[in-house]
Amino acid sequence: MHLAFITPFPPSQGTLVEYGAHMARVLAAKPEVSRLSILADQLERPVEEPDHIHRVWRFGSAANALQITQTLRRLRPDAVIFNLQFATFGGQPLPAALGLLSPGLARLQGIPTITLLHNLFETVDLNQAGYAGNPLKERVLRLGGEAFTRLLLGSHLVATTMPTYVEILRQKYRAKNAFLAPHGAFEDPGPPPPLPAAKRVLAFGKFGTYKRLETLLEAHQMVVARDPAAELVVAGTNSPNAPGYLEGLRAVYGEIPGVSYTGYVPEEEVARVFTEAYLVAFPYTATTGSSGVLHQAGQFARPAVMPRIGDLAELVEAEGYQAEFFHPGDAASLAGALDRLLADPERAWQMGLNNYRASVGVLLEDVADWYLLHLERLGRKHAS
Amino acid sequence: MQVERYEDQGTTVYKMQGRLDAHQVPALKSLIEVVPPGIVLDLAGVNFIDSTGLAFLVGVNKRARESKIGLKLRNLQDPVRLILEMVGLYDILPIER
Repeated sequence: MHLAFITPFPPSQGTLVEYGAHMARVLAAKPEVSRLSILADQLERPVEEPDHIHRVWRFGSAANALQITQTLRRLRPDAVIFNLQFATFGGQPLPAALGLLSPGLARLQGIPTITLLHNLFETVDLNQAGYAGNPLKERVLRLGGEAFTRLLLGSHLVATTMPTYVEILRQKYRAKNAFLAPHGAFEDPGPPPPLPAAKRVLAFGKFGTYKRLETLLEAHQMVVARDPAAELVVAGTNSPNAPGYLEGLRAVYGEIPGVSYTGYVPEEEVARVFTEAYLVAFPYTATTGSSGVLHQAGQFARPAVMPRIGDLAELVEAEGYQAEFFHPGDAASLAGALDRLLADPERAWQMGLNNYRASVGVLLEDVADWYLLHLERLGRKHAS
Repeated sequence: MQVERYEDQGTTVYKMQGRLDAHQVPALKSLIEVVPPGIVLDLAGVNFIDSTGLAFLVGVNKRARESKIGLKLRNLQDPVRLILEMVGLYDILPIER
């Protein structure tokens, strides 16, 4: 099978780039996939890459659907998988939405098409995610979002990683082509690494929209007042929609002891960053889908501290993870949750082990088999 | 998870009882052999399945297909059937109806 995979792809640093890179790796290794073409986002500075990586679309461009359609017409793949979330193609509504036409256009070309959709408009607090400034604008965006969700459903199949998303697509949109697919652990990590002696809390991701660090920093200040050895490591960069966020944060909270900022974490450093952490904190004010960071925390057998909000808590339970929960926006509640795990290494370790089992139970290569089964069936239907 | 293995008209039947989840699957992987001419997974006693359990079923299906060995899933209970339907595998996996 010649498979085309449309995704943000490294060294780009767009959202979903890690998932895209790992999924591309496991798809390329499948015997069923004789050829893999990656249709990736353009880089600011082009680099030398293998021929099967085609940099054909650009974050923020209104012409992405056209570029992708033309490339698919030229490459003539047997099947297509899109790795998308609603803002994959742009930070502004118009390019973001126009890009989401691509799966439907691929289907119109007669190519079996699966879209892996990592979030839904319905479950995103657009205001917190940085896409609206006032309720009226948010309402307009949501209506637009619904329209484009319908267009995305033009894909032969739409996979989501959350049961609630499938329910929304099936009930609200009456979609019969939506199904649930597990997120999957990126790779088999080997035996679970033991917890470090250092009481190091890790926050990992792209910050400034719905991942905000103010509450975590205030909670850390309370924790470090009781235990001066406690550390907080902020690993990651500003969200593309929140330039300058981390810099502003450091200006305000720079006096708090025991805080370090790593900046961008290259792929080869990810394992070290998680392994050196005692626990992983999720300073989310809203969610936009299944959490890749939770799967990484599980992969490295680390306990999680999470806000009790919407689908995040649901994901934890549905996929067998455990977390210590806190009230969103409540620094004292978060400090309490951190303290409970920092003070009880055995409990933290058992929680980490549970998360490890939940994470490595489904590897991304298992999930890829899932998609290939669906594509095979679509291909058969298509041929008959 | 309890697994009873017996032969039925030349087919190896695995009668499973318990939860098909991340905690049970590691042990189950060494118990379930995909042997010719075919195997049946009797899920009458399984009322819970999670994503690890689903991946296990997909994996058994893959091994059976690669080895050209027959596979049937039998006696699906409603909670398991609903999950298989939600993940789009109900029409893909070889389920005895």
